[in-house]
Amino acid sequence: MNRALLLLLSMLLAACASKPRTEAARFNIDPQTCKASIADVAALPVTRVAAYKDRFPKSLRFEKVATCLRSDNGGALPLVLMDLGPPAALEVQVNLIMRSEVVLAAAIDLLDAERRLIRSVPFERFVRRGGAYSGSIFLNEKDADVRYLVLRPDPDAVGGKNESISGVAQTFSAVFVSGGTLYAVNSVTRSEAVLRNWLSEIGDFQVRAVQQ
Amino acid sequence: MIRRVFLLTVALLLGACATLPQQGYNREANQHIKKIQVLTMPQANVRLHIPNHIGYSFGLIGTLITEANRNSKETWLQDTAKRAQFNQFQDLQAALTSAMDAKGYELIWPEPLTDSKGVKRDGFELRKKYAPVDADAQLDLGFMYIGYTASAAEKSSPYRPTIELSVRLVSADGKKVLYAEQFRYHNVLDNKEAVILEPAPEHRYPKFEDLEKADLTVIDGLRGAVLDVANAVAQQL
Repeated sequence: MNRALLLLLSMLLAACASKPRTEAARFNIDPQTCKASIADVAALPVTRVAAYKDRFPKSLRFEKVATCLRSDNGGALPLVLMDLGPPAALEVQVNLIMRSEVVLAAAIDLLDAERRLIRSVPFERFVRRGGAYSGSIFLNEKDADVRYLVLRPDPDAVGGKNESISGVAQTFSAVFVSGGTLYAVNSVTRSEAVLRNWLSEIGDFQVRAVQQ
Repeated sequence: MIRRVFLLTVALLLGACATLPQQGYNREANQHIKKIQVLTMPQANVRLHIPNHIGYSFGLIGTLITEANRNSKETWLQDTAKRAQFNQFQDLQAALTSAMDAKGYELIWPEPLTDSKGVKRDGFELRKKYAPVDADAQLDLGFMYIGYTASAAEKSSPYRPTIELSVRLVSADGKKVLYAEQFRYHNVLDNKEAVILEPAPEHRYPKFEDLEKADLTVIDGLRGAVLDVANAVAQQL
């Protein structure tokens, strides 16, 4: 009986445990759904904040909010178009958040009001943090023409893998009663782990603009 | 002793969750900044820790035993640093001067490099107030940690060189923050927001005895860590 129970528990645990990922996550596109022109793509607003200490807006899932654009060579490009609002001196901060061994390896394009490309920032310019890659783009006086920001997978980065050594915490909690009193014990221990992230075409991101 | 253990625990807990509000550097808007006054740095001894060591979970007695054990290991590391004539402030000065020079900046360093009494600092080891300086900007640097740490007291969680450095660039008049960032070399506390630098694989010591065997070589690990952090700071400016 005990053996059968143990077997059942092992099977349940094995079903819950996720296998380590072995490759980057791709964005599955149905080319039929692609827009023919960037002019047809709806833009999301970029949240503006007054100070660095202000909270970041809630993260968005690229694969849920992205639009597919048909490229000149007939291919399909997933992208998120964001409206930066009226010209102002801004630091546009982009966070690409690591989740389940996946991080969006994004490049940023800056577009003018006619949605024409002004300049691009490749993924290699992003800085790796503990829980995200982050990048900043400053919009100064000379950038008065910049009106939109595009996030799209960077083909030069997608497919890569990042490994980071980290002390991962495990929390042990227990509650017991002794002498009529309820005691709660909470203990945190750590062990070293290698955290892997695949540079992918999908993932979570945050964008905000800090007024300068 | 108990007070010291309490302070140590609080410091490690703060280190785990506290993150300096990050602010990028607007190079284009600050093109006039070439000559930077570096401010004196807070004192920071070479340390050795195993954060959340299981021994700390066994009440006061367990904590005292664990702390006594850690203390003797830390003393060994500090003696070894002395024998190797390691000075993290001078190493940072040399590495940062070179990396910033390559980017066209001139750094002016104070003498001595570290604080005299009376400098008030926040939890990130950065100054609470800034006075005007005779340069284009001023650079505030604070080691929150330098030394060796292991994630756990087991072979699979080796001792590795570890640095936590806070950096803030402030305008010459001391009124405007131009850049703020935290760098962590070996992310032993799994910080999610600081810039993370990976520890050099050759300085991986599974047990404390391995650190002892390596002797002065362990200090090369700290020197390499300071160099990597300095290069990462310069890259951002």
